[in-house]
Amino acid sequence: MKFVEDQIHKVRPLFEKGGKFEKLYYLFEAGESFHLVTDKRTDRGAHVRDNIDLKRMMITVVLAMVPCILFGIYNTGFQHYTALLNDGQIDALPGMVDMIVYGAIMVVPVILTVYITGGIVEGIFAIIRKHEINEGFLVTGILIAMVVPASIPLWQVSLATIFGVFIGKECFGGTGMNILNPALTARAFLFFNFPSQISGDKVWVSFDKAQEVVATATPMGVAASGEALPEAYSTMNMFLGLIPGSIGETSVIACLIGAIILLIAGVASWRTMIGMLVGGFLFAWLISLGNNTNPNDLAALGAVKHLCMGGFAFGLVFMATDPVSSANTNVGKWIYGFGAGAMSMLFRIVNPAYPEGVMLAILLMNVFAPLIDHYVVKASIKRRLNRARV
Amino acid sequence: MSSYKLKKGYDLRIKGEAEATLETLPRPTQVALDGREFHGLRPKMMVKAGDKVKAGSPLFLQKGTENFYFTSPVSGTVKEVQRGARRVLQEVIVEADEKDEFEEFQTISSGDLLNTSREVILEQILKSGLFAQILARPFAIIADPAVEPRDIFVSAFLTAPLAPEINLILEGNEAAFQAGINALSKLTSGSVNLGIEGGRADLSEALKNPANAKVNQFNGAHPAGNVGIQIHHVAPINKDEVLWTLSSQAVISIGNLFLQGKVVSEKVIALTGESIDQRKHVKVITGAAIAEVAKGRVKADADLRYISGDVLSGRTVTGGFLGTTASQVTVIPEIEKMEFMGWALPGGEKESFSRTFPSFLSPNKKYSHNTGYHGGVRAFVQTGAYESVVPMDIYPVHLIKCIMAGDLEAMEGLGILEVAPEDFALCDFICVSKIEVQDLLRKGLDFFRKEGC
Repeated sequence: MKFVEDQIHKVRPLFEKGGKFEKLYYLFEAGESFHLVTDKRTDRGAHVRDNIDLKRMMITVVLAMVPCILFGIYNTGFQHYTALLNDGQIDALPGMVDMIVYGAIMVVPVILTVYITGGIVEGIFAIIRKHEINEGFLVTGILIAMVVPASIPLWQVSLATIFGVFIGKECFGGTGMNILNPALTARAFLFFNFPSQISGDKVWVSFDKAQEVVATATPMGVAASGEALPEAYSTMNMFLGLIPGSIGETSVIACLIGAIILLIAGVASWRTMIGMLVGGFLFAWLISLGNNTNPNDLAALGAVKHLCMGGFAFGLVFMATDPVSSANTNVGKWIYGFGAGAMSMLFRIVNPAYPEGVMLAILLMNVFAPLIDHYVVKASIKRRLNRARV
Repeated sequence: MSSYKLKKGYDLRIKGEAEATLETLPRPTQVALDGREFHGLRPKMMVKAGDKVKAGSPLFLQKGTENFYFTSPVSGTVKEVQRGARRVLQEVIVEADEKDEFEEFQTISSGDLLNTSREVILEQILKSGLFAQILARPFAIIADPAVEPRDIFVSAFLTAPLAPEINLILEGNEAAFQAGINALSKLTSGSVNLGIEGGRADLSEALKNPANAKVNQFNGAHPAGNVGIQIHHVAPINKDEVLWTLSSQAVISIGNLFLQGKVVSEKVIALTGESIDQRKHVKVITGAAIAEVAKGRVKADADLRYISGDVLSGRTVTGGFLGTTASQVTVIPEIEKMEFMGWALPGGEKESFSRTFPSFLSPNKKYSHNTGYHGGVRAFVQTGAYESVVPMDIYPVHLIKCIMAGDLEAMEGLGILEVAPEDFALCDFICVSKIEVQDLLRKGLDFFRKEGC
């Protein structure tokens, strides 16, 4: 520890004003503050400060996502070998280790690609804007990796990350100023630019290039086509997450563990989460009431299945609760969450082209969040004015 | 008696509480009045170095008034008038005599105060220098004697970290406290509101059943003891209204002024903070040199911060003098070294409002704090935490953002007239982006006062 500290202090003058690498100061700062928490003293305001900082907050979110990451790695392997088994290419499923190894080979490069590309974009902006590197990308990065299929080409991930960070965040002024969730922006970029790699039934299970691709639709895909869900897509399996889908978003149980961590830590808003849960449940249930002609129709699946399907749980726990792009007021969080849940179901069930709506619903509510806040705050102003007249 | 239960807020679990015992400190050799303590001050000097003064003699006055004096707490010789950048008045230091000689004021008994005219009472409070301890809302600045307040609010309990025990402050001063309330009741056509801590059976009778005041009980964590929070719940301030606020010690001083006919500068403060030994409540002269107050109680070789007031909104007075309005002194260690991977390690010995540290599992344990930021200053990320420590119907984040944007109309709409920096002090503490909320709020208040009225 002391060695690292000494080395950092030794090279510091090179990056300070007048030093050889003055322009790269903020990159140095990022490295320094990663290893050493600042000894800067308070000089205004409160003399003592909470031990939490943005890094701590962000790493807590990443920590909450660990179950999703681990399960995503396992499930990637599991889906791969299950598909091979169904296709007759292998006789029996291999052991857990094989599945994890295969999953890791597919997933880790995606995560690395996101962090490296995003890190470069963040670094460039920090240097241009002359501010410290913001830790928000710790979370954005892992979020992007979790919402893409394991089979996605890395260059597409890279482009999406650049787009997500640039258009989703830096364009608006950087961390804290963004209107859209950068990770969802990245995913929307993939969805609109490379639809064949992020939708349809040929992308959710990853294969080695040499092998023939076997088509495996997600539960959502099956339901959208009006067929009955096969046994492999039982509610229990969907809850556990043993279904094809984006890397980190298939398991409701992993998302629940994440939600518990986030709620205990107080990092994510329970109002948003409950609002979205209620909105999603209510709409899925209401729609199912009016659609009992074809029991296999997406509209008739019922609320519980819908909540376990696709990216709903992941979106609810990790995407909608992004403190920056969601509503800021407490009342606003209820409305925002409810809207995101309701829209998710509407888009999912009514949209014939693409049987998933969580991403678009949250992005849409991101856009509305400032408006919701505006009216909530306006009501407070009105209260104050009314009081003055009395 | 009305009762209010506040759900929002947070009590810091900081080490260094003072014992509930009272000790009298030796008389200080130097005392000072610090101009920086009085927000809104435009001083005109009335003494120069070498002048002899008595306890209660004017040192300077507020420009634009005839008799709003700031007076010496002790008798002695003016040693120095210190000015800072742009000739801002800093300290007026007085070398204290062995024993006090007092300026003489009219003696009026507690009962007679109720039959005395507002002009006589106000005139005496102004001349005695005690008017300086009255703050005006909006803006939390020194009051303007020419404007009659709608109401007067006194908070008789403190929830700030390591706050002193109110019963020790009141002990022996019950009559003076009641006389002070009587005097104040003549200064407003509205009411004198007294905020007391709810759920305390052992509270001094003088607080529970005072005459000529309305008593309001408050239950809740800090900042429930802040007068601004109490005003917000009892009778919020509206546009074009003015309220006066003061501490219970100031009420006692005003009472003593009329009962004894002199300015009694002795008051009770709590010596608090982890870096101080023998933490007690002490009787001390207002404005005493901090070195004399803390003498023999701190480690000589340690790098320490001396704060006049509490750790959230007090003033740094290292090397200086105690504030006039503070009722506690806090001494904490300065941060000394960078911490290796501090943000990622579990951090079992660290307090946090956020529950991202294991300390949330032991709610009764006390923690050490130093003067470090514990993290870099970052863009404003709204975590929703501000809202849970400001027990007012106000949107703190939106208010702060409007101040950043300089939007006067929105500031007013969002309630800037109701708040003082101390009411948002916990936001300073909990902010993950390390935004200086109190500083921003003070700038916003000053900006509004200049441009918006």
